[in-house]
Amino acid sequence: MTLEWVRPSVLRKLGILGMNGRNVDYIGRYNDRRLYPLVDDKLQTKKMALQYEIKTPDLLGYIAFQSEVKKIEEFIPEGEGFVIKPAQGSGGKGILVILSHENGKFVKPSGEVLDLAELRRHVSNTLSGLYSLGGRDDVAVFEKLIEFDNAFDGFSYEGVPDVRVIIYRGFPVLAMMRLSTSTSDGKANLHQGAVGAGIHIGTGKAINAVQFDRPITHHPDTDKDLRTLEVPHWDEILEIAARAYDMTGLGYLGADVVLDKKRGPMLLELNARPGLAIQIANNTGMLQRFEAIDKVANKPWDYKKRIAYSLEQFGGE
Amino acid sequence: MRSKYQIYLIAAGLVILALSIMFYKIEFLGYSLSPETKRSLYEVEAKVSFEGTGKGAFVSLALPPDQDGFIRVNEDAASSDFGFVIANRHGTRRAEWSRREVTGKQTLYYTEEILPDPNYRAEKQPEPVINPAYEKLELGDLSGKVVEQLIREARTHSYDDVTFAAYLVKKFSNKTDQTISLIFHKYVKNDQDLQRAFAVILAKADIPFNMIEALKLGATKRVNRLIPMFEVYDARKKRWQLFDLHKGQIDRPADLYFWNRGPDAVLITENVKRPRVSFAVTETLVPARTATLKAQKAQESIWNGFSLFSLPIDSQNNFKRLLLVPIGALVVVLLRLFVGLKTSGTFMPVLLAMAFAETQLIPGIVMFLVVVGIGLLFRSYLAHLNLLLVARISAVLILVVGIMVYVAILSYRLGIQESVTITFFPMIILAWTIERMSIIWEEDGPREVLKQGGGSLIVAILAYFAMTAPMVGYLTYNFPETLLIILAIIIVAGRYSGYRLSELYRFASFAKRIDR
Repeated sequence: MTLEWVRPSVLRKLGILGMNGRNVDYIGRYNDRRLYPLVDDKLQTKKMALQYEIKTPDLLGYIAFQSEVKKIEEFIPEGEGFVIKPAQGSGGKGILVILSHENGKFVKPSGEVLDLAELRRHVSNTLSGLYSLGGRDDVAVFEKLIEFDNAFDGFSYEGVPDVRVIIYRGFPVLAMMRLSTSTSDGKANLHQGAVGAGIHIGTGKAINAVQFDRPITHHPDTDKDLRTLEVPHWDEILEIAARAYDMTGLGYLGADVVLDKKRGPMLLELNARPGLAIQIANNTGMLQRFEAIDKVANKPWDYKKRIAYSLEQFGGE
Repeated sequence: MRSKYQIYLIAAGLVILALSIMFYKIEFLGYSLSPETKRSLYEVEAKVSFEGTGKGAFVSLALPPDQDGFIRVNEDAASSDFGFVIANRHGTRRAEWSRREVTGKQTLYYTEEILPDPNYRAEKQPEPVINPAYEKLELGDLSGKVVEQLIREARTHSYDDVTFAAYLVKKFSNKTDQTISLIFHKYVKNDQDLQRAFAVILAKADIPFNMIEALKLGATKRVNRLIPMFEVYDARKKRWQLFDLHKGQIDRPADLYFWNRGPDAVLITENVKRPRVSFAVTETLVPARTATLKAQKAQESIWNGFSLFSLPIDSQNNFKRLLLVPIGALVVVLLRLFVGLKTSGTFMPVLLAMAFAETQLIPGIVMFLVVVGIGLLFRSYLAHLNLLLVARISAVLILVVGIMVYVAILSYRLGIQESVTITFFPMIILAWTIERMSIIWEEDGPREVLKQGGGSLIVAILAYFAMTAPMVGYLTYNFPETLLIILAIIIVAGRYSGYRLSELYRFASFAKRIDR
């Protein structure tokens, strides 16, 4: 691997957002710290989404105290897959996906089999804050497993693919499909090795794909051509994402949307500190788009108008 | 954007404040910016020797007054079996020894340490009036007529007290003058007599003056003699003007230390034989900091109360280390914000660097890798035991202690002495590092462990070099206000929204691809 360098002036010219710029100029300015719990606590996000009538994966229940860990079986749906996640987890840490289970044997997407004791340990770890931000005591949330849409067959390996949409002051800016790989252990996090496929804001079609910040054309496990990826229900996804701004008031927001075979697009979670790799996946910097939005951001537009503006600005070829 | 200017304003304010305090300390309290600077510290010893007469003896020695340009940092009187007091007579401090029935040779000592400091001003100057004690002075049987004649002559040749005295000194240097040669012949055998002659005349002329006996500190000599001089109050300039008995009006040299400033003799004794006083001066060069410390203690400066030097020595040493933490934090901030290194735990590298400072770098790194390595192996086994988090971390903690003990014993046996310092490692932090690393290993793979572990180690090593640099330690300890400068840098760095060095690499191929 040769070391390649680029001058800061080039990055600036291309409008590429850096980590410090994100933290100081966008998160620091537009994300009020008081609002963080709304997105950092997935239970709160869920409750809020319910109020706004935004679809989310079905909640099976949650465990808040170590003494309840024994009762873990109450939350496990008969003959169905499920997901256990820390309500305040970050970066996909502590999310346990169980595809199916039988006679106390729980199968992970990787094929690894866990027993009930291991499941309990995971929940108990979650409660003691192992996966949560700052090691705070946490709650383990049980959700129904999403049956993902057939449109994604072969695009994702052992995991639920989701669409990450960056919402800036209520306007969709960039979108990307996050596809899990064997390296990412079925998780949709790019820094763990998931593939990010940039999705065109106007069409919902893939633009470009990256793994570990480097471009790829085919999925490393399934060898499927990533450029053929097309996200169904695209309008609905943009709507969910844009409304997440109305729901939270956070100006720089990442909305993760999953596509369920039966229920369609659902809000999986929100992120107040979405990463920067989405730029690489989209072959474009974000800053020019932010500037285009800053011109109109003060107008009292509803989400439909905002999406229309984004489509007009960024939806062309 | 307004908050951005506010930040620059605050930062500038902090820097200015810190620099002003530093300037004040350097300029007025004698602090030095570099640890090498030395200052002279003089130890002056007055030795009084005499022989007892078998009766009750009394010895009174004039002591140096508080004066401009010198800080007395210490004084001590050795007086075996003598009663000792410091008394005030005619406005002069005097050391007074007394004892009943003194026989044979006796020696008494008075020593003091003084620190020349051109900025020091005495709290009190002598009153600009003539001390009544001078009026009783006589020079043998020198008649009042001669004195009055001299006064008249000096008055006509002068316009104020200073020029009066100047004329007088000049007149006395002319030995061909009949009156003067007579005075010299009859009354003036040495400089003491000459000083007394001037004193008698000045007292008669009602001119505010003081007799002075001064020590020349400049060259270190075993035995120094006191130089008789006098001073006259200059009403125009509102200050005392020094006179050499032969040269007349002189500026006070920086190394001239007044030992006695008043009407009484340096040594006054009762019932003793062959009283003698001699002076010895030793100059030692001390680090400026030590000198400053001594001066502060003596001076009761307002800064003294807030200075670290006012703490007991062992807590001073703790603070020495504590004051280095912000330096480590600064390194962390710079490396994370400008370079973009990832570390496991924000300030873990700082604690690691502090441990390295105790263990030395290479042994420290080896020990760190050994402890974390073994810890990770053990932790991967613990994972199977299905323990609650707190219990698991505690188990790792105990393991860390165990590893430390065995590493220490084993390497001590192998003859590696440094290993004993392993105790300086922050155990809790190590335990957490192991726990976090093993989670990262599970969640993000060994790649991320290497990235964060390596990042932490690099930051720790750089922080170690920054924190152990002698100049850095000297500055933070002597000028704790440098913390304000560090704070200012960190505040400004906190608003840095430009690219990180790592991003110039991360986005390189991407940027080149789309930059067409």
